[in-house]
Amino acid sequence: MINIDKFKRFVYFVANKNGRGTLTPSDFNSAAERALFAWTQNQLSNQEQYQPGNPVSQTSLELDQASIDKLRHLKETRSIGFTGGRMPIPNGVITDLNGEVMPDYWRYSKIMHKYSKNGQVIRRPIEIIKEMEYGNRMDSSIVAPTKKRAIGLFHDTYVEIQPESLITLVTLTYIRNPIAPVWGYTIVNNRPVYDDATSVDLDAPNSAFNQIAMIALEFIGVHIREQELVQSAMGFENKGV
Amino acid sequence: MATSKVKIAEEILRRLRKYSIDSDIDERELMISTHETLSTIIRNRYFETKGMECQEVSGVLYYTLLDREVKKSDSDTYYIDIPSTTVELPFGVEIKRVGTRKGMGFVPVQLGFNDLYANLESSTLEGQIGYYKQGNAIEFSNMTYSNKPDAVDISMVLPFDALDEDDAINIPQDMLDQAIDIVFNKYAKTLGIPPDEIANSIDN
Repeated sequence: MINIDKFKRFVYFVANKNGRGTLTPSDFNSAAERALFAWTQNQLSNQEQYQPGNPVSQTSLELDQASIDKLRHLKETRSIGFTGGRMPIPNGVITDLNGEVMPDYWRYSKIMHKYSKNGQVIRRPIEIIKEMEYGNRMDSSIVAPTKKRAIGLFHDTYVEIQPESLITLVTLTYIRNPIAPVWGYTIVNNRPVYDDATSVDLDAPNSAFNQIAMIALEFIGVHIREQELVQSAMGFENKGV
Repeated sequence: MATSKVKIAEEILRRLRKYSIDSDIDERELMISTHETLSTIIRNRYFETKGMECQEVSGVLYYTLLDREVKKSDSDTYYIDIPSTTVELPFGVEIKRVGTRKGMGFVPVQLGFNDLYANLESSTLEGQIGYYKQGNAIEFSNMTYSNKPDAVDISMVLPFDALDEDDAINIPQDMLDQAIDIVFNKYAKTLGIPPDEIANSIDN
């Protein structure tokens, strides 16, 4: 986690703002939240970098160990029970098998279930298929879903698991939404002073401090009409500072 | 080292996924393809060895499937369902033995034996039971209600369909290597994986 106050002081240092009303705490919180989400999105996959016929971005989730390490703090593994072949997608409200609320889902990683054969329990992955494949798979005489080779299809709020009557418990691993950062404060002598109790740190590894700060500075530069700041921040970001 | 259908499929799939992680090829497709390829290899080798006068199919490729139920057809003949497709070889070599477990094996005869040998002394096979393949069945001649066993065992070449995907099977490693390469290349084309560059110092 990146300390939000430290982050704010650095951003203000680069932007050369001393907190006298050019950027309110609310504006800063908004820029920090968007910068965090933009950074996380870039680590997951940047669709803007796709080429026709080659949907590959420069980095993506689990492309290599570096990308695994950057997002491992967002990884959630939860056991989910369900009936009727409908595994609910975590939304920050529903609970897992242990009764704990599951953080909001962002990106799929894997679904496993237990398959038993000759008294031996094996954990098997559930293959996620595309909508257009669904009919062919369900109707197939070769690759129809079985308990050993189950399939899943994403819907709006749930994943349809087939064969629905045979699987009622799975383990879902996914990337959750990062927690929105908040620079909390109290007013002292008409000035906002950092309040640790109401603050929420940035939900990212310390190694990402500079990158998130540069993205935040681009937003802030646009906000305060500082073209030079925007250019510099973009330059730093592209250099991987 | 014994392998299994699922192990072979997994080996091919792991190679394919090195190139395309989104490969949606199912292990079951690969098992079917492997079976087809192995059948071709076994058949080719059978004919290749003809020139060396040692034409045979390795014993390790024969599997005995036990207790196949003997059924009665509408035409009052007895038969068993063929438990699996096998390699088609001359003279029915692909089936080594059909018979009861403790008794003698039945005698392989040609399709049409009953008509061809009707009313001849040889049609009785000296009291033995004959068998021949027809469609999805192995039919018996000289099998009657009185000598009919409830079930028979059948030994045949690589009955893939009748083996569970985890059953241990013994395929010579060189044959397996050849089959895996062929199946990999079949699916590599489907997935658009570039073929290996062949360094040919003669042509170059």
